[in-house]
Amino acid sequence: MEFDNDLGRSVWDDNPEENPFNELSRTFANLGKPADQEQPFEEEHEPEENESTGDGVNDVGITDKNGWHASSYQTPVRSSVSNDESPLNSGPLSASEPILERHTDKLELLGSLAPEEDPLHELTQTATLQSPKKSDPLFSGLEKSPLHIFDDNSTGHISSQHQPQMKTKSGKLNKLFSSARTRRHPIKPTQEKASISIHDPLVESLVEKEKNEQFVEESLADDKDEGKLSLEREMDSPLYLIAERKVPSYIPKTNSTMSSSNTQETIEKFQISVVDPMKIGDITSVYVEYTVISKSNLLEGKPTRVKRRYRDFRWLYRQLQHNHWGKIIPPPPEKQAVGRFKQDFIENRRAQMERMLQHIASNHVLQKDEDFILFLTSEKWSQESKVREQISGSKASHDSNDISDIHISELKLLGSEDAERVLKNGGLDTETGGSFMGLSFATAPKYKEPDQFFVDAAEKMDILEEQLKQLYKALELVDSQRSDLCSVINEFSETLKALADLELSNRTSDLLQNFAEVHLRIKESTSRSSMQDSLTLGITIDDNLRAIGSVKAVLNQRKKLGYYILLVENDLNKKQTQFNKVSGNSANSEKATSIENELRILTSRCNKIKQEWQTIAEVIRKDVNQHDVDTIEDFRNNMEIYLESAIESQKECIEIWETFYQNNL
Amino acid sequence: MTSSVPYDPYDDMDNNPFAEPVEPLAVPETINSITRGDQEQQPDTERNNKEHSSHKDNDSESTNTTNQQENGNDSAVNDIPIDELLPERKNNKYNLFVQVTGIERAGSLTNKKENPSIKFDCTTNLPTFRKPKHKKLKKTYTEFYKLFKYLNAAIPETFVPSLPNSFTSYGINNEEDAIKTAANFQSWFNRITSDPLIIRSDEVAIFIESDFNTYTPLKKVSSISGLKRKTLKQLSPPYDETLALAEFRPLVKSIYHTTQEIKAKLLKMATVRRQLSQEVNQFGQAFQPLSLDNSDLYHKFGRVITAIGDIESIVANLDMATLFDPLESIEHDSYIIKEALTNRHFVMRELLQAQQTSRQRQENARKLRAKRDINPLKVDESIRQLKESTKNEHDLTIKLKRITANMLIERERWLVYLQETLAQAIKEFVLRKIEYDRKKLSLLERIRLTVRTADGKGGLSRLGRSSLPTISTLSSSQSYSGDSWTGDKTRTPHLIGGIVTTEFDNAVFNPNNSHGETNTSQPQSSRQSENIEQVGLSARQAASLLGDGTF
Repeated sequence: MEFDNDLGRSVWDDNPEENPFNELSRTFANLGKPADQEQPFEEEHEPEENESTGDGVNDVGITDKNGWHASSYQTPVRSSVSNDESPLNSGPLSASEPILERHTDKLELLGSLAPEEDPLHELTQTATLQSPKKSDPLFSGLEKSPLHIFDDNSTGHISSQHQPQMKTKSGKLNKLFSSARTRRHPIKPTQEKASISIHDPLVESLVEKEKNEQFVEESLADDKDEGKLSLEREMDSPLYLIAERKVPSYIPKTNSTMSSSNTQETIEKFQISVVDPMKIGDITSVYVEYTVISKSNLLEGKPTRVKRRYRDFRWLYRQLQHNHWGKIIPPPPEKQAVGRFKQDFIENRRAQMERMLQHIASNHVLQKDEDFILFLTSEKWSQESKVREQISGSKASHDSNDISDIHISELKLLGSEDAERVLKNGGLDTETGGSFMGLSFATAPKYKEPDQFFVDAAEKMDILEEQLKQLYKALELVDSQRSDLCSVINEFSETLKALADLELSNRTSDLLQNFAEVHLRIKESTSRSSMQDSLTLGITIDDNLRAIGSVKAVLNQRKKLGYYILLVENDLNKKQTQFNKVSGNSANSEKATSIENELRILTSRCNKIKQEWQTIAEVIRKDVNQHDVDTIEDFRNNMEIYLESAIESQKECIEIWETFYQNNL
Repeated sequence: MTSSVPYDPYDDMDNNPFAEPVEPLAVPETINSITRGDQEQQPDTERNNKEHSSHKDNDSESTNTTNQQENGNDSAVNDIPIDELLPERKNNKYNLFVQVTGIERAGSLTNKKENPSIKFDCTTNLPTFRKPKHKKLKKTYTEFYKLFKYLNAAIPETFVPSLPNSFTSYGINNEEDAIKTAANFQSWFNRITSDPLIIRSDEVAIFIESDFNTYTPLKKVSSISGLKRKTLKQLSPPYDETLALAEFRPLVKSIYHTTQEIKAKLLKMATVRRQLSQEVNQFGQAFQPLSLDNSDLYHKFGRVITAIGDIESIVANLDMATLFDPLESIEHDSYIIKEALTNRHFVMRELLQAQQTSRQRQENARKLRAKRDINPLKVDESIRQLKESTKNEHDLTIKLKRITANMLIERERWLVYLQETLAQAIKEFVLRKIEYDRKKLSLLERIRLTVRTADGKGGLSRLGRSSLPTISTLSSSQSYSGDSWTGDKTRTPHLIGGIVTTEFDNAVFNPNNSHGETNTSQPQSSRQSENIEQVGLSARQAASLLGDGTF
């Protein structure tokens, strides 16, 4: 596997992070910027202090610094990767490229650096190294560090650049610093379809085994398929060949949904696999660690390999929920306290997590989320994830078992200043609606959803959840019964063979032997089809069940926002009356002004929340509809697969019996 | 007299170490050819047979004549031609025909189940019967059982066929059960009437001529049973010269045990299958209310799956009926044969003992003769005893020979019968399986089109094609011209009418029908299919019929 390269780099490079540093600092030292060398180190220590990640509307300076820091966490890992790719002499030069791209008004300064080399460098680079060019923005954190001075000076420009870019590129609220945006050479919008190939060694080996055990006399339907293209054949093959009964059916599904809905947005291809679960830890704290291998153009084109545990996946989920309000995030597997180390359980969980990542990666919005990228690539996970959590205020680690339980971060909602105020008072809930205001609200106000769409959606989800649960249980029962039947058939066959051994006559012994054989074959066919059913239909139902949890989460977000609106409005009204009272009384002008200030703050807060509430409505509406369509299509497809496989296995059984009848009776 | 001929052990044994056991293909002429596998003896014994038969009184039942063989090579025991030992078999003059007309179940529930009445007619020319024709006879199962027990004890030479079960696995409420039970009794009667020893028994005549529900055997016969039997069985069996029978008993014993195991597993399989059908039913039920979108796709789909579950439960029942019941009859048969062979061992033991006593008495007589003082009382006594014991021994010898001879014949017949029964049972089993698998397939295919067209693009199977597959291509893959998925076009499904449109279709695809319809159709199904089997003809069959009929 080519992933070994990654290992090699981090193993053989003594200090992968330092090298570019030193080189760069040397280079820029030559320019006469002595302060450069100290700055990078200082910058590294500052991350802990920053807490606010407001949206682009607010404090520009802080934003950028944060953004700056955000990228700097991501980059130490990748710089090692990128560095080894480019030849040494172009190390500092490649580092200089992104800088140029970012700070366009610094061209003159940097032009003095190595302007003539850059174009040449690029020319030479195009032939040999494609990847560094595209991926440079991502991995330029470290190299940029000596030049953060430019950042400070140009923050005003940059942020203003960022804002419009961000606003135009996507309707998202909080993308501070998507490094993908600031490219000198914009990526050509490609119509790539996100096809996810599933490299699951376990399932593949299973298929191999099944192929070997396949009943040979079968599958004449193949004749019809010859005329088609290979892609179509791939899509068709799960239906007509017996051996290939596995998840490749996912490919047609994602293809069709992708192609139908995304012609405008770009979707990068992602290849993600979760493999190799290993038990880590001592007796007291044991857990299972999985290796996540991902490869994509968004990740610089080279496969990355990181170790993650289940908790991290849930962190990612919470983080994504926080980053994209209203968007339905593909769900993680459920928590489980006991039985965490059983083989089947681990395998099931692994598969579910893999699917979760693949779904996230196939979503054009989510795949570019920096937390997602961080998850896939970060080597200093514990550190960086904590930092991210702090910055975003998402409380991702406070992860309750129910995935529809959400936390609305005040930071994100209100902006850092206001959020500080709110949090000092203990949060929106306590500040306004709590008992300490006393008179007006004995209980928290009830949020009534004005839009019928959401009420309907909630109801629908509840009903569907019930039904799917029943269905899943029934399917599981059928599956276990079938496996029981298989073992009994086995025993039956054995006893038949015992009778055959008595050798009453040749004919009878043959008859009995063949009869026993037939039963064994039937049993194999039964067990195979049962396994396939659970792999296709079972997985779909399970995924849908968990996705319903995600949908509920999204609806909860809206509810909570609405609830906050009520609280703040109440507060506002109270303050208004207070103000009116005080303003009538001309004696306390100071108090009046202070109350007026507070009033202003509250009004702006209220407006902010209202705006959020409305935006989230739009997002939810669109997403829920899309989710519905997806679910239905997925479900129907799987029903069809189930039906077709049932038909095929029936034909197989009939074939077996008929042959036996013809030969022996 | 057995004792006057010197015992020559080397003549008895077949010294040839490479001799293959020869399976006799037909009912042997004499016992010699069976036991020795000695071809050269046959012409001799045949000649002897012809000589002796001319002197015989063919109708006598007694076997007291003992004609000595001129052929001195024969072993001491097997020197009587079979015609003498078993004169019943010699001529086929007497026969008994029984025709079962029906089964009647009446009375309390247990009575219905375990004691049905069998109605039959009977024709015969046996002297033991008062009338040659008997019509509309009716006997209860308990009467049959009493007759059976008597015959088993009274006729040690033969293997009495085991009584069929009073009910089949179809369940007594099923029409199929009545037919099957009647058929079972018919075949039992056939076996009885083909055994000349049984039909000549007086009790059979008494049984048939007795009034309804009044029969009890007149004669009392007891065989060794209970503790004595068990202890005797513990001893190793006495030396048995007839190799075939000596090997037969262990074979029968293992058949008995193996069929018991198979039955147990089959039962287990059937119960698991029934449970599976329940689960599948539930799965189908859970599918029906799905409200993912507003189509009734899920409803129909759920119904189809429920119907599949129903078929599964029928299959479970049929499994039992087609295979379990015949296995049970084989099991009973093998038990009876095993015990009959054990009884033969007991007779052999008795014979040995009798031989011993007669030897002893002979010794006594000789001693007396050698003594000087002659006590007339003692002499008389010893002579009397000697005569008695030799007569006893002789009787037992004849009896044993008779038993052995008959058993050898019966053994052959039974083995053939066993294999035929097995083959028949498996054939039934497979045919039913195929029938119901085909029904499942056609059900599934019916809903295929619905599922495919539910998706606007025509479903997964359509991807890549520019046009939707036409309805004709989606019709049933089983047809008169053979199955569409196999290269063997000559194999037509046997029950076309009942398969392509099954009796389940109405319940499944007609939305007005309640779900209860499928349940009621179950007991009718097999009957219906049989009807259809008789009524429906494939084109091929029709053509062949036409072709045959013109001459």
